[in-house]
Amino acid sequence: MSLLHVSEIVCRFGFVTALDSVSVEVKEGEVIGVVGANGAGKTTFVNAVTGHSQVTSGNVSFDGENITNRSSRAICRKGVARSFQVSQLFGSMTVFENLMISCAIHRGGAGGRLLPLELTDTRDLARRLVTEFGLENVRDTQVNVLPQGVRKTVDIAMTVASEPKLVFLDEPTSGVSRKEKFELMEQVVEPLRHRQVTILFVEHDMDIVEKYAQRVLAFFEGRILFDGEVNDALANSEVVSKITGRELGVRAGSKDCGREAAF
Amino acid sequence: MKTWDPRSDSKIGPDAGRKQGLTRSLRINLVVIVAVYALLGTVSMIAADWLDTPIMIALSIGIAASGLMLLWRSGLISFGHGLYLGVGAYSVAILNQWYGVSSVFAALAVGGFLAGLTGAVIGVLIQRYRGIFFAMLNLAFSMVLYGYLVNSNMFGSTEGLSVSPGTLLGIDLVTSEGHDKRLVLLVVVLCFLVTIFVEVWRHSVMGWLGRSIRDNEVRVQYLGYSVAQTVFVTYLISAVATGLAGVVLALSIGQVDPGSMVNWTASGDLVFATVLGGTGSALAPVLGGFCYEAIHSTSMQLFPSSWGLVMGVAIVAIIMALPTGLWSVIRRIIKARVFSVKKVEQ
Amino acid sequence: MHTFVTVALDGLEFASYLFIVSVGLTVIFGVMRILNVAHGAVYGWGAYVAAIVIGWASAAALPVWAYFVGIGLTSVVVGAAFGLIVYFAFVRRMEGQDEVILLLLTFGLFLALENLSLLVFGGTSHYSFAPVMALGRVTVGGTLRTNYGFSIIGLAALVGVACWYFFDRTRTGRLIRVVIYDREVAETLGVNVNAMQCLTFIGGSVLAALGGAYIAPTISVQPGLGTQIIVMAFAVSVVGGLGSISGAMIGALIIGLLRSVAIHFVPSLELFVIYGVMAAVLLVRPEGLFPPPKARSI
Repeated sequence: MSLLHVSEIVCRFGFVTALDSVSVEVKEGEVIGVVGANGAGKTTFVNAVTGHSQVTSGNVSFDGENITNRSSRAICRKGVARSFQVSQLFGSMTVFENLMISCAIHRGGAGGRLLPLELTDTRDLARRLVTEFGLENVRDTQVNVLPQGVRKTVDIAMTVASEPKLVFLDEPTSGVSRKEKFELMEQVVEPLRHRQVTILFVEHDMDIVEKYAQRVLAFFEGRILFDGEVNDALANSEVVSKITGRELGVRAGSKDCGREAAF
Repeated sequence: MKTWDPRSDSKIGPDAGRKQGLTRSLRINLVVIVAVYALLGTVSMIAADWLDTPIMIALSIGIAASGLMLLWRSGLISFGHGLYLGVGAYSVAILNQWYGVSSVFAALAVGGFLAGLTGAVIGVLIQRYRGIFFAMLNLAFSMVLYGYLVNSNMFGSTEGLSVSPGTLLGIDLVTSEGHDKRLVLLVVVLCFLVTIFVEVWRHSVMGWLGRSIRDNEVRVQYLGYSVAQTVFVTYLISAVATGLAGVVLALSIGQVDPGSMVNWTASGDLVFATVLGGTGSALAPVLGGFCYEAIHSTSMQLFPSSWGLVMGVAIVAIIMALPTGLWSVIRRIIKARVFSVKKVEQ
Repeated sequence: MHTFVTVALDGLEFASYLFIVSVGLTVIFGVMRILNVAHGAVYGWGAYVAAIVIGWASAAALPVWAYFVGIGLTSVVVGAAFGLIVYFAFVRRMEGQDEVILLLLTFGLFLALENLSLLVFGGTSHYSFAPVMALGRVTVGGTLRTNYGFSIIGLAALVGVACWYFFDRTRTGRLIRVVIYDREVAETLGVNVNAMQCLTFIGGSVLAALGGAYIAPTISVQPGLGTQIIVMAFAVSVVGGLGSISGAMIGALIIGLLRSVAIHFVPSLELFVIYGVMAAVLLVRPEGLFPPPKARSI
């Protein structure tokens, strides 16, 4: 039984068809890499499923329930969460405060919301996130002054706070230096694995995709070009020619370049 | 790899919060508030009689600013809260003149309730607006009421209505010198209750959400909270608070009229007091209210036609130099003078 | 006489003033994302100074055209002076801040300037009917109208055409439109955004002053003019769409005509009608009836 069932969704904005008849089935526990060139529809896909963008036609259902075009808030409560390509944090507050607010979602009802934020329950949950995601050093630092990599980690930690069943990570390593990319992924994927969260992550770096994904969804011009095992995906000729490219084996600037580059 | 205690894996239910209703910082702040108001109450009691009206006006503006401060924390400013000031004030006058009711409690209850009702209706309409549009839509609604009052003879048109002295449990709250001190004390107590409420609210999840909305609305939604609901509730609180402020104004001045209470300039006065005070504490708006009244009275007496100029210059100065309001100055002074060890709460 | 003609012409005349004042406000918002409350104070100053200048002119028994030169000069001088001061001393320094903060700033400036005029000119009313008298009257459709009233309609039309020409045909105007659409892109293209903003601000202020200067001969110039006009200018700009000139025109017509109808038939509803329309538009179509086009950011 699939956890997420996307059926023939079309997302049209004016004259632009960002997603054209996209269908995906995601099973529990999968780790899927979503790849594609810029403008291919990856972020629109995430936006559409998580309630940020309008789905023109088609169906999205999660855990048996129809979530098409419901608000991002409602979808989050159902158990689908997402992190952002550009970290969306509460800039004026500290890391810990950001996490506490994220964890307070578990406070039941109106009464719970009137009680102070910093009570034991919320603080414990936030402290746990700090430990899981290695944020001890920056716990009480205002997020606005933090470097990119840490901000992304906080963003993902906040996403996980609501204890979702399925998580979209939108370019988790973008804006982070090559050296730190793997560190960040390690830091972030481990807690998710432990919580048995199904992961879909949008990524441009194929090495990361190769290492962490079991399955690959390749987008091209609003459609799914390839959907399958990660190794098959990276070997697939269409994926190679349209998205990932291949090693040419010639020196840049040499006479053979042009000949080799022509597909 | 980092690990955590598996025992803390369990989901915490709604009961957990009730084990400990007050956190340390909330407790400290509440104590400070009690102390400040004890002082305020004492001063009001022993102050000269001519200070009664200004003190009550200051408190009333403080009450209204308290509500507006919560909105300001969320990044929203309303140029139309004169609407609620008017609803509260005119409720008192109508209770007096049409129904012969002069009980202060009745006035507060009716004024607060009607303001809340109006706030609920308008709140539903404005909860998705932000920035300038939020300010302007509130302005429009308040001017609709203003236009109506100015042209309606039933409500006294531009002259307004007069308000007879309030009674407390049947006892007339007026002495030969003017206001009965009991009325002043009552207003102090009312303001105290409002301040306590605002302080508790600030520390609550709802209060934090209010601040989060200002920082990042999208994130708030994606965490599973409803931004619209939070804005609505905050707005409702501000409407009720301003309504109560209107009741107090009516009782202290003895006169209600659209020009000084419902016109957009009156809303502007409230905005001034709110911004002047700042958002750093529940006491900040009350500080703003007192500063407003102090500046107002002083310039009225010394240079009667210059009140607007002083207010305008003050707003410009605050916005440009001290956008966090006067409270942040006070807090800095206190922190610099008092050596405090900030214990990181573990 | 509540004839159609009276109501229509009254409405048109009022709409003309509203347009002249609002077009400056709306364009300033479009270019700089500032709702300039101080605009109202400049209107008030324009009215006072014009009243005084006309007073001198009529005392010196100058010919009719001198009045209009006086009005024109007043607008330019008052508008440019306030425009420059407000822009360089305040607005420029607070650039990039939250739009609500900027709104509060201009609100403070409005209060200061409006009350400064009270201190400078006193609380008494200033009359300067000379230009209205000089132009005489004419009978139209059975009613007696002042030629001055027609001249304001003409002036508004002129301002409208001038704005259209400026923004559509001149290089500077087109550059300002670029800034309205996307300030950052304009900067990267080498447009001197600061100069454009300064120009817009001064131009808008001159128009505000012109509105005040031109209305001065028809009313008793008293304290509080700015307070009244600015809320109406908000209403017009919001109804038409902040940033849109044609919107300001349509908004002015709607509000001007509705107000005229209200005044003639149900006077008590005058303000109610204006702000009711404003609230209705804000509720139904907050971008206004003719919002400037915005690029979709997917």
